[in-house]
Amino acid sequence: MRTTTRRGFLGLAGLTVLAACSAPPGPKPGAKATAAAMDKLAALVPKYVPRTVLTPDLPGSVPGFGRDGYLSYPPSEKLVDLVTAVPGKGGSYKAMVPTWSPLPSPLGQNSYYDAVNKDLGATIEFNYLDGLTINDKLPTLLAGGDVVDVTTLPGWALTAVPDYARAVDGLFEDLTPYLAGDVAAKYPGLSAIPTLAWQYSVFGGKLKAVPAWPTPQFGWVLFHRKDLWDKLGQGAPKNADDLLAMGKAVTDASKDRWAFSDIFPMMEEIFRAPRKWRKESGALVHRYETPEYAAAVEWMRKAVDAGLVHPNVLSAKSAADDKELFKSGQILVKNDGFSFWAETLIQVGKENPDFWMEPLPVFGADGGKPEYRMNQDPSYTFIKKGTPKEKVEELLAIFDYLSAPFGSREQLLFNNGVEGVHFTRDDKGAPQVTELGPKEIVGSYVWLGGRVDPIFESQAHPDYVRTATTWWNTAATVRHQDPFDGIRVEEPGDFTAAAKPFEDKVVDIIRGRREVSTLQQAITEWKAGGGDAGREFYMKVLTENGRA
Amino acid sequence: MAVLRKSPPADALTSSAGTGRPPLPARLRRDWQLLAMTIPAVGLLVVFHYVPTLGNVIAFQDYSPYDGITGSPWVGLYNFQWLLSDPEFWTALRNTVTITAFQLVFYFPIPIMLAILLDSVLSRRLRLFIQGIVYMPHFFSWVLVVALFQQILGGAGLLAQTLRQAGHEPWNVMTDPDAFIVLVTAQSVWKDAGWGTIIFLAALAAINTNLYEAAAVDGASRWRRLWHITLPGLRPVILLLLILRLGDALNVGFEQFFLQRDAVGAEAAEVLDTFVYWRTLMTGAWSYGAAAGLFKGLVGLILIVVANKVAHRFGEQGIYKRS
Amino acid sequence: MSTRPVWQERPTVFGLTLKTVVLTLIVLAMVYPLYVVVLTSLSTAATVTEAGGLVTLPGELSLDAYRELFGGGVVTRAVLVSTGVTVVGTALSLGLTIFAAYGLSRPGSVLHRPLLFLFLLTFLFTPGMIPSYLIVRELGLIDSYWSLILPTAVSAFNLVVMRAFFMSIPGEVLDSARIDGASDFRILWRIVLPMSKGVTAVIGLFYAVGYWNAFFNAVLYINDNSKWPLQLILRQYVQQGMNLVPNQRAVDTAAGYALPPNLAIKMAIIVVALVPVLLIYPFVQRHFTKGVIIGAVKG
Repeated sequence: MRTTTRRGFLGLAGLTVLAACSAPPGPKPGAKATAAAMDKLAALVPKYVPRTVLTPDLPGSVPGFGRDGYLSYPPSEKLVDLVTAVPGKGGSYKAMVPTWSPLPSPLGQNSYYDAVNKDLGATIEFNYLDGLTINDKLPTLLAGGDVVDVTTLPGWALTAVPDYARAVDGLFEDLTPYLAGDVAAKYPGLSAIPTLAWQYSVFGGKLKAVPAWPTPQFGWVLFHRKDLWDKLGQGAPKNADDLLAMGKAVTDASKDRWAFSDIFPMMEEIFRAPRKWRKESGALVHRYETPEYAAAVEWMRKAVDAGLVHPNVLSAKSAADDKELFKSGQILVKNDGFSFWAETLIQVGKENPDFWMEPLPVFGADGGKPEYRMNQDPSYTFIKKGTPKEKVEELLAIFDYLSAPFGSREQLLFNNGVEGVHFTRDDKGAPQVTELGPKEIVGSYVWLGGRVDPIFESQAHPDYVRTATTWWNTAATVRHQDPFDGIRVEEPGDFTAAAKPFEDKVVDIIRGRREVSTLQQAITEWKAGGGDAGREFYMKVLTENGRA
Repeated sequence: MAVLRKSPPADALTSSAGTGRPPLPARLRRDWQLLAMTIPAVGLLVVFHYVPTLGNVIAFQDYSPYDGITGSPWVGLYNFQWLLSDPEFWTALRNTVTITAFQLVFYFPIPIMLAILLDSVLSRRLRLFIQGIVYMPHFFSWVLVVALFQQILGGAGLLAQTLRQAGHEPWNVMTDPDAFIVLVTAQSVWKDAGWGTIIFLAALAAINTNLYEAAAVDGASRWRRLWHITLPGLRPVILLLLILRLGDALNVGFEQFFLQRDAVGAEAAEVLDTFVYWRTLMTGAWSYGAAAGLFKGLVGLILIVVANKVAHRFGEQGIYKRS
Repeated sequence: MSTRPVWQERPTVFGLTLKTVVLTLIVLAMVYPLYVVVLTSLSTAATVTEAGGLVTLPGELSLDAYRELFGGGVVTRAVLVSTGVTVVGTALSLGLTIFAAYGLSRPGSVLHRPLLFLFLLTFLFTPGMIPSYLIVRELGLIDSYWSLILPTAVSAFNLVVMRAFFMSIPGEVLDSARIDGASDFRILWRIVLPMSKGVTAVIGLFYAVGYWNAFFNAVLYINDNSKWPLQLILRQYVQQGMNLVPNQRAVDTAAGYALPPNLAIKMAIIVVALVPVLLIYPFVQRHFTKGVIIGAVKG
């Protein structure tokens, strides 16, 4: 694996600085840059051997990006018992995983932990990392080296720590000897995790982690309140102008109704601006420099000027809580994560049976296709360095068990708990949580081991699984193709730092505090402030990986 | 106290180089109890504050936590040169200083006035009730404070909807960069002025009532008593807090500005703490962040020393005395 | 019930009216949001959804939010942790601060200026997170409750304020005690403290509120969830469904258990944070009584 370091770029950083004093030669202070390509690492990871447990009702479209759909939960007698031998050998392990939920009852007072641990044949004791402060905690945790037997870290949090690869190398066990090559006979569950997710788990030329949560994700999904949208006589927009016109038609400030939240990130995708770089005749063009990005900025400015964006979103987005505004119908279109859909249906459906939301149908700004960005950086489950071989093997067997997919007895147990205790089945067989459920269960075992989840939350709404699976598999076909897909890049700190001042100016333009025509000037400043240096760095990465 | 500190006659002194102090052993004999009382707190500070604060030397390094301070290369003033040449830094500094100056005039006096007003309420029970109420907002998070302000002043809030109903174009105060400094000050006053009265109420309680009575008997009016007894009584505390606030001049808070930054733009809302967050925490520039921190501390130190000197010039005690 | 002293003149009608109006406005500006917060915390999820945020008009009421918060044993335990840390921490901090404030209250004493500066500088230069963490770790305090107390036990601000009050005690009083041969410990205990009840109560309140509301040291120093203080436990409810991490939220939704964030719960948490202050405050206020025999503060 080749590595490009920032040190090689000292000479290239011809930085012009506009302020009172002159800057010293050399890059802005910040993280050191490296890059590692994933696609050369096939020999280090397990060979992919897919396994299907139940035939899906709605098969996924694109391999690795589409998702299967199951219209109903299989009844208990149809569940497949995948792991017949007890995976554990009676060991006791501490695991630290992140959580964004209230803490469950601790081990010893938690029948869910007891039930799963019994089935595992080992005792796992979970400690949770507070998800909101994970960025503060992680550098101290890694610098202090106080890790427990098993640690799960989200990819975005880990890669935000400077020099994380060195921390990973020093603290966690090398799993290459255990997992490289064909291990399907021993670990059928782990072997069914897609190769790309495994390749991301290679740090510094060694397989260091088991990918947790390798299910593909859209960065953002553009939802609309279809129930209200229909009632107001609007149909499906065919292009960006349509959406703007419909936004004007549905907005009525005196009735507390606005069309949009801050949907700019989604408009970039609808206008087909790249995630970061686009390769054009051998050169790299950054997102900020593309005409598509400029068009998205201009569109958004029009929406703000026409008063189509909810004022509270403009005055303090995080304090406004656009989720609540969306649920109450004060905002009709907003972007959020895909899971917002099922989650909201489960909650609001109880209060308002007419409530229905879905993503706006797939459309591009010019009537063509959009380029939706999909997130492939999974989370990682590490084993502490120095763990003896037999303990590592016991843990890997446990992770293999916990990689059991939807439709297996194991998955229902570690996902939903014990039937009759943590959930009951409704008349269609879908699980409904009991009062005890949420008090004992939060995402815990699901982090240890990975599985690509199909769409199966039929308890959310009778139409949910079909609509969601159809939308997902259509959207996955128009996903953005990134020239850096599969390359883990630690970019130069000064390049990262140049983004914020630029985006501040874009926010100013969108909100009407700066003229649209000043965008070019902002781009020039961004280039000089680190953009061009970043381009050199990325170009070198591309060349070194034979993709130039 | 002055009486206690009275120096012995000058001719008794030989050792202490004309400072007018008794020799050290004598002073130690006199002051050892004071020292003993101070040592525990000093010990804690040294261990939990000063030792880790030494870590700020990374401001002069290209630091990585995995190399540690001993393993990271030294780069001299490199980080400071970058800091002072960063246009965003100057925007943040300008905004921070402007906001501090504005709030010294329009925020700082309010807890004092409020405390005097509350103190003048005669009914004990009513006073207790009002005091209890005005403290509450201090415990609200900034997110909630901003959300509450939105309910009233936001573009979908009470004010805007009333204007709309009356057929006027609504004014969204919360996205107006020109109104921003007034807005954040109003939010701060609402949130913290009540809490800020506590110290002044304690100081007011310490003023001898006999003085008021004597003045009243002498025919001094309500206002004259305020001017000649109450305010002089509060003066040391007011000055102390003023000097401390000056030392803290480059801190105006983080979350309040972080939340409302996009609403008015970085030009108006970027302050040093948000700058450090974006520029260093988000890009892993540890050394750069430490440099910004040292810069802030240094400015604060200069301001405190200068303010204290000015206080002495006006015959006040300030924080520490002239030696 | 008016307790106007005999020497004080009757207030003018105009003055009284003005004062009443101003105070009423202030109280309204504070009470209304408080009402909104409490009302929202007592509203059902449906009412909150309908309002699209904070509830201003009473709809259907319920105690669900509070039941949700205190339903599990986790929160009850955290209340004990926070109470313990607050009580022990406040006692320790107050003791250290009183001693140090008195120890520094006589200009000219040995090392007076350097020590005072040592405290003032902590106000200006703050340590980084990683060095602080490493110290706490070296001392073996990770996962110890002391890590929530010792690093923040002495506040320079509180110390300097307390010192200013001590220094305003007339020198003659202390002098005569000294001449009588009283030790400094005795002077502090018998003369200074009884004359400084107000400021002692205030500083105690500051420390107590600080300990009660602190969560960040726990984030850094406490890995063991069973030792988390209340504020950190409660924050878990607030952050549910944050926009930051759509991916991770999917984990809980897939498990079927992500109860979406309910504004009512967030507001209930704020109310919970207010309660201890409401409980302590009357005790603090008692010490603000007038007429303690203290001379005028010297300028």
